[in-house]
Amino acid sequence: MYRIRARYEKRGRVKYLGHLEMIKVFERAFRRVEVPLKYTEGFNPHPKMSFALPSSVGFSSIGEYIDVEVTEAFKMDKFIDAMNSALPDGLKVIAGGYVDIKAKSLMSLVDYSEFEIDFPMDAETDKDSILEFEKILETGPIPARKRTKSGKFVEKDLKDDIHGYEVIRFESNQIILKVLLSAGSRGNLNPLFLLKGLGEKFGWNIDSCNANILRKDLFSKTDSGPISLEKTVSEVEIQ
Amino acid sequence: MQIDYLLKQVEKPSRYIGGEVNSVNKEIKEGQVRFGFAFPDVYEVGMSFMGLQILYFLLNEMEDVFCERLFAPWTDMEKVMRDSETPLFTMESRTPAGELDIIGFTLQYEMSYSNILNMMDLAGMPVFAKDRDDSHPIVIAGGPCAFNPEPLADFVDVVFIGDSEDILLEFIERFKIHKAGKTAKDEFLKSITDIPGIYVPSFYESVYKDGIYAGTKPIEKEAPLLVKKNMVMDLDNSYFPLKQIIPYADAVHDRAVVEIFRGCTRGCRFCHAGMVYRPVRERSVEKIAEITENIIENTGYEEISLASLSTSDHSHIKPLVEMLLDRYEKEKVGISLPSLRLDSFPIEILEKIQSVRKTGLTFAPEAGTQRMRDVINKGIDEKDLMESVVNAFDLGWDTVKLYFMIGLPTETNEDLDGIYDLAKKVVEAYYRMPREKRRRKPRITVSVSNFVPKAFTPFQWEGQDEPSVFNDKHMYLNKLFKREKAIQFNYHDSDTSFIESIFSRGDRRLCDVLHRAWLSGCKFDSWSDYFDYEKWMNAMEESGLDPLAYANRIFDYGQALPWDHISAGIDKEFLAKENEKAKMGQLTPDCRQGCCNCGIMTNYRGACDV
Repeated sequence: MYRIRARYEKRGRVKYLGHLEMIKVFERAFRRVEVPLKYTEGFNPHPKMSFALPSSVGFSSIGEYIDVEVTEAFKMDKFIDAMNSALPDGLKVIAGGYVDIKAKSLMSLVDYSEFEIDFPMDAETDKDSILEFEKILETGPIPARKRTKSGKFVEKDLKDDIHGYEVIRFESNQIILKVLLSAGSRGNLNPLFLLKGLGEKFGWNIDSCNANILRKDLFSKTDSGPISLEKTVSEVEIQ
Repeated sequence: MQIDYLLKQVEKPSRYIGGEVNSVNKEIKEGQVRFGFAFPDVYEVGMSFMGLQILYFLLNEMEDVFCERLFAPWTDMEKVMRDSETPLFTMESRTPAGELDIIGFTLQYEMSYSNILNMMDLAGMPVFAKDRDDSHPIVIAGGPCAFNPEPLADFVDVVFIGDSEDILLEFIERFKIHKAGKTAKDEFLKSITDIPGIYVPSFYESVYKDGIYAGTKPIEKEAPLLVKKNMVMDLDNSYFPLKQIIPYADAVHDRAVVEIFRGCTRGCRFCHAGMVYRPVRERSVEKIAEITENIIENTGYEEISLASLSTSDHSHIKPLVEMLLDRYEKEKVGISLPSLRLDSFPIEILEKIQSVRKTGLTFAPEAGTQRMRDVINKGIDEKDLMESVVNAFDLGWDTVKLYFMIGLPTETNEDLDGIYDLAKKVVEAYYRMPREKRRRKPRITVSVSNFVPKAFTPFQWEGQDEPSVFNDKHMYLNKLFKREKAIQFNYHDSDTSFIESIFSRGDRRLCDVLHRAWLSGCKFDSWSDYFDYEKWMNAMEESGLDPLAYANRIFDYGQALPWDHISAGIDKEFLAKENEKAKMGQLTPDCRQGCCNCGIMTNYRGACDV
């Protein structure tokens, strides 16, 4: 038994696929290319596969990950070519490798998510306002009300979930911002929620339907800093 | 991007994105025929329809034709489209539907008609055919409801009666000449009336006497007196796609489908499809195997459905299923047999099928008493049914669905009691099994639908129960079933069945009703959340029409019927004789046990070889 970990991108119209649809798309692509999948037991056998924190409906991504178990190993470049011949336009496997069959689940590895957020806003911009914007991203506060599982509202500073940022563009109608946000089961900040917080903080009127959000990658927290999930595969190619 | 902006505001945006595996995208070229295959319901419903897959690939195999898909946008999407003045657009190239050459609507059920008007309106075209000119797409329609096209006569330009694989291609060839030569729309329509199965409603006029329908006559010399249905004689040599678009968004049926035969030999007297798609035409086991092989390879589907009106009636069903089971066991491809008559199907084979994927079993006795089953010519007897059920329980099933129809001609309370009794016997049969075989409580579902008289069936003359009568019957049954914990009882809404009945036997005057109902906001009428009975009743009243006269009145044999100028190939005398036999509870044998002279043999020579 082998476990493949693949990184793929989701761009264009397929960014509107929900996660359950994505599962089906992959299941069928695997079957079409005759990848020898390992199935679960039971009356409704399913291939054994799992995803790392799939990005939301409407977000583009170049940093999606899937693990799938197969009964036979084969060369990774062959696997990638085969998958790309079978996936619909917009979905593309860009890297892959093997991980130990008993390795930690993809989902449990996720600590950070990197996004590029491109959004229009309606404010005048000058040097001072850029500095002000950067200062807030650096030190906060970006207050927000968040509903807890018990239904209560709590005040939060979104800054606590921003672990890195870069202002790529800051012009009168457009901001392009790269951020590294908390992600996964130990804390998660949705970039749309951040946008809302920023809008309230600066008094901007942001129409989130006009924002383009691209997830660039997912990272795991390590002692030597965040590492991309792509780096969690074995170095050795299985023949 | 405009559409992108809309998609971020709606639920289930994947309904509108297209680009699914195996969908076709072509470069748009001058001189290409741009066809829009339109399903007048939401994407998930439309994509479950096999006819779409057949015609989509058939048309796209023609180099100079680009067939794209159109669906009714769900109400949230419609709202943002209308607010932003975005016209209905195709799934593939996002071309505004009004820029296409031809839009073809499929008529699967009457309750989708308001969506047809709404889709035309969303496309920015006038809904009435007479208001559309050469700058608009030609609107065509086909499918089972096309056999009585009159309630849509004012809206569509051309109706295809019967099978349309071959005549659609002929139609497209004629259209190319029309497009190249820039002839007027009317001239074009006159030039196609010689194609079998083609009906141009504007070339006919209906007359009424004292408010009663009195006949439809041609008013153009090109229009034939009688439009005969078109029929594909040999299914093995007719087109069937070797791949399928794999839908997104949780389609109702999301599996590979192969049509194993068309038509039916049974002769159930209420069944529209069983009458209008006569005679039975089978696809050979070899051909089915070949198609299945290709579709599975091209889709990666984990289930193949063998589709037909009565799947167990294929003359080689056992070897076919055994062959498919053998072939796909390793790849874990399941086989599904919809519309199975379990009384005539060996349970052992079913067991093998279910060893891959376990699902519930469905039986359709249709009526609760033997007398009533004889009236409708459903050749099932209780003994066979109970034997199948007992067998199924013995082999480990515990989920059984039972389908019935109420409001059938001659029905009495005894027949309603019969439904209850039969369902109860099924439960009792379960508990008669030794305790160790019963793993849990049985789950028995009884679904009751309401009889709707359909054109070209022996019951076309019979009236439907009034909604209040249906309601009483539902309450009566509900009370009986309430006592039974193991039985889940469901029934169809009687108001919806009433409107369906009006339209299924309707004439041209219903175009006005449909138009008014749509203007007042009717759409998605087959969705109970959107069906608005009051609006339909108001529309009937404003049009000055009596709903009871359409749905509930018994028509005389001598009376003109709104579909008399259409022929489904079966003789009206045969239908009348069948209706009389029904009243006496006399059975008519299956076609395979001897010809009952329905007319197909003489009207379509060589078509019937059972």
